[in-house]
Amino acid sequence: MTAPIKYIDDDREAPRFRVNRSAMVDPDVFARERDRIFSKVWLYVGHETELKKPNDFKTRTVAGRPLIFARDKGGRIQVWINSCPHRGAMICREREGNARFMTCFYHGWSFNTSGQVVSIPGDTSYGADFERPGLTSPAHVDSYRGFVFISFNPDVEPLVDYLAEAKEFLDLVCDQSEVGMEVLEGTHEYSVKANWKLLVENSYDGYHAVSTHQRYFEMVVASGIELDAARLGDSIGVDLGNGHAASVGGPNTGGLFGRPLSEEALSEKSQRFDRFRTKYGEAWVDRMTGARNLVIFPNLVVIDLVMGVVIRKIDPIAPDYMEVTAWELVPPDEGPELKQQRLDNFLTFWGPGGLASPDDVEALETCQRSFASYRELPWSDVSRGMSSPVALGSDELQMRTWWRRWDLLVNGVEHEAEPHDPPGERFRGQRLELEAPAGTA
Amino acid sequence: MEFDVSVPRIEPVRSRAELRVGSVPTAEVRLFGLPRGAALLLCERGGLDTQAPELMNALAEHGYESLAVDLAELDLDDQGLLTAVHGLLGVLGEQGWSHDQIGVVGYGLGGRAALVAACDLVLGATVSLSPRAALEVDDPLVRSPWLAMFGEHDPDMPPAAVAELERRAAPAPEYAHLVVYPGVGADFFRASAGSLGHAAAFDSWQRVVEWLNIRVVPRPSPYAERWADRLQTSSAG
Repeated sequence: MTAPIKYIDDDREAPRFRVNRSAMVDPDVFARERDRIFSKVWLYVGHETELKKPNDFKTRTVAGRPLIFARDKGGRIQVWINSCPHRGAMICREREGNARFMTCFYHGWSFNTSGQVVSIPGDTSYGADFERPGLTSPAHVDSYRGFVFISFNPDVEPLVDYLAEAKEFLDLVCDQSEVGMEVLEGTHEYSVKANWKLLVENSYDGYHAVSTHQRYFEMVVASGIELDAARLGDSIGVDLGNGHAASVGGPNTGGLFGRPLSEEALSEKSQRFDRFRTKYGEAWVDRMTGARNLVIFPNLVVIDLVMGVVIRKIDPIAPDYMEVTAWELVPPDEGPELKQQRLDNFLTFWGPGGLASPDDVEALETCQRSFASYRELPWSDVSRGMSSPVALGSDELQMRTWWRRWDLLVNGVEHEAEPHDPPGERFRGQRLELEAPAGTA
Repeated sequence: MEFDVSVPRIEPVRSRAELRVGSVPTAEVRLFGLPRGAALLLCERGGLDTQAPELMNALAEHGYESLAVDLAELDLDDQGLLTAVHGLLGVLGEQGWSHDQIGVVGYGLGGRAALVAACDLVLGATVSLSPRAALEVDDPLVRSPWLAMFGEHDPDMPPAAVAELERRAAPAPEYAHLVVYPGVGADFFRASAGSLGHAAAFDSWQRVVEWLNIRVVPRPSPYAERWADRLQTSSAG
């Protein structure tokens, strides 16, 4: 009998943290992830502002399940399994649109956006007392400040509890508009021939930025921006509970290496943040001006960096293949130049044809190819910053936090949280308002 | 539009509707069995004789009863058009059709009437094809889903005007969708030998039908009504 595989080597004495590369290639691991993570926890499906009008809908795939993400006639957000309860065909085969009724093209059953069956061709053949099945929803649908999550687990904890301290980081993003942040039309969609967990790691990996994205930084310097190395390094890594974590920049690190702004745009930005200071207090707004790369376990990434907010959803398709969808979250009350700069950065930094994402994709795909040798070279090292009193953003506390949660859910192995000094005051300032922000669950 | 000759043709029944704004000639197609829904067809000037029979038969193929009128001879302003639509909806109401089971489809002046109705009423669906001077309608904030289609060379609504109309309709509480067909004029919905004209006529009719099918509430069958009653009873209990 063979010993069970140890996927995580969490040695606090050395200290050393290693991940077994078989976790990146093994189909059994992939199947367990689908069952023990994606069927159990809360998963991001979309943002409420993507559905502006009654009966707007988008079709999405979450955890391999085809879903209809819709706003019903009454304006309520609904999520439906995109499968006819009759014989299984997809009810909606469009990516998006507006429809009060959706009709299954297989046998013609029609459903409204509230999930009720409204017509069945030739229904007399079913008899008068036939129980007419409506659409099926995931076990739970809930939202936090416009971010809509679902869970297929009937016994899942409430969303606000699940989000734990990650809520505060969503607040720091959502407070950047006085009228509510809004997802722009259009998406970036790309695929990566690599295990999905590699992109999770990459999404808050401060260590790789300068080496992997050298080309982007050279372009920024060439555009006249002076990079402030001290402020670039002013960041920490934080464990937010339940596997969520973030790398967090100090005040004024959010736009450090974006394209330069005109005087007018700088003035508008300054005025906006002055208003925020009055409303939310200095300490909170100082935090708002910092960069943050947040991963909400398991696969939602929210990055507020380079003068833009990216929402990224990572979908595992196979052990060595993932699909990625990214949206840009913006304050709709900004002027045209600030909006233009966001769009520019969304395209030139984050876009699949931009100057950053292709570098990351290349790095991850080479990792995956090299994992063919996982028997000869079984471990990846994720130890950076383990012994530091304060974990920096360029350390790897964020990844370790995620992996410990992963090991608990997938393999039932419990790890203690990693002890570090609490973050400094600059990273802990609270919003002045005591009441819950509008739109919370 | 061209029709398959194998489909039986229904001759609309001609009559008159006495509305508060005046008396108008009408054409009507009623269906046996369980019709899918009802359509109020607001023809272009003179269209009751020319376009209505074909359109009403095409709607019947998809299960829609229809009532067609030509409002042009009454010389109505927007308020008059709205009053007329109210009256015509009343005629359909007498036949058991609720507002959400009715789609309003209008051409030219009728298209303008459809827009005015969309702004004032909550209907199943509304469609305007080459609506006359649509940009002059105050506050096109539709309360019913509204599809509007234009020809690129329509001097009354060039693409820039359509874009302006779309911008003004954007804050509306209901969904509005505007389409401009390239290389054709305001009569793009008529059958044409030219490829762009043919494509516009074919596509625009397809859009009309699909717009109605995914928005007009289907008339429930007796069994569906019984099921709805059961649901209501169980939720009340």
